[in-house]
Amino acid sequence: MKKLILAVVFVFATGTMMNANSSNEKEIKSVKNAVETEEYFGCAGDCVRWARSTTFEIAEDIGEHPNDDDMYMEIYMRYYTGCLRGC
Amino acid sequence: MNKKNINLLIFLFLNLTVFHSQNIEGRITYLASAKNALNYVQNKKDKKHIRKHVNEIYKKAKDVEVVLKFNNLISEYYAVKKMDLRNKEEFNFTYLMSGSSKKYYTYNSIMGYKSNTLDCYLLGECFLIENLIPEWELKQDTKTIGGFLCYKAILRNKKTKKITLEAWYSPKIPYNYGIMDLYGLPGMILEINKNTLTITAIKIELNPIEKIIIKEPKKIKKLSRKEFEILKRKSFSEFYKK
Repeated sequence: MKKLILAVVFVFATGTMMNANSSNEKEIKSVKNAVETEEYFGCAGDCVRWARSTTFEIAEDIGEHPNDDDMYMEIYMRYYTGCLRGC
Repeated sequence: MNKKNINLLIFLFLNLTVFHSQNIEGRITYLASAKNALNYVQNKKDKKHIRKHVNEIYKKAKDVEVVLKFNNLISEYYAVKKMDLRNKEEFNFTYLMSGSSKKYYTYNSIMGYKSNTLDCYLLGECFLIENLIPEWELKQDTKTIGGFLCYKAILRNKKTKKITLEAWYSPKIPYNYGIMDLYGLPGMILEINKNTLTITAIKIELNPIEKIIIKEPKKIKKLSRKEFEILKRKSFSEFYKK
């Protein structure tokens, strides 16, 4: 019985020591400050903007919106791919 | 079989006979020109760079020949001139505006007229896309094109109500075919005018000696207008982004 009590005391003591925590330790922050960046797609992005503006301008001259006719989508694609070749 | 059914059968047979006896076939050659576009060369302060480019596009536009072949069942429309794809600056605006590499088929049946565009460029594979009949407004104005008396019809912008297109059709050629996806007028369309583009018939051949052969596209996936719009918006999300 004496042996059993000693074993229980030993286990309890080691468990207490393992869970002990020093109050001097500094808390490590895992969260970094987020840095806001604007997405930039380079030359391809410029081509999208350029081809889109050109298409809208052509449609405006006719008095239409690019959604009014499938032809404008093709104009956009032709100018976009043409522009992309120059990237 | 009662008397009513017999009468109905006779009526349908006569209708079919009349429909198929109207067998004019032919070829119309049009000239597409963007010379009017030069009137729209503008100097905008806010979009200087883009405007300069669009002005150049208009100035470099070259006339293009387009062809409409037809018989009593089908018509086929296509632009003849190929454009130079090597350089973006060489894109011919007139060619793009008058149908480009697309082909337009309009079908005539007892059920009415239906139209499809064969497009193998835009979505990376060939599709036959349904064209809805335009909402024409018929006018009384007349003029003669190639010896045919033509009447005027217009299309308006649905939002602004401004006229966006003027078409001239001849009831003397008794089909509702037309230029590109423009069809459904009570006669063949012989001319269209947009602000920056004009397509006019320069040669009208009716029942020529050589037979008109139209190769109807087969085994090509058909898309309804709604399906095409959904696919287009998916494929070109960057274009539709506000």
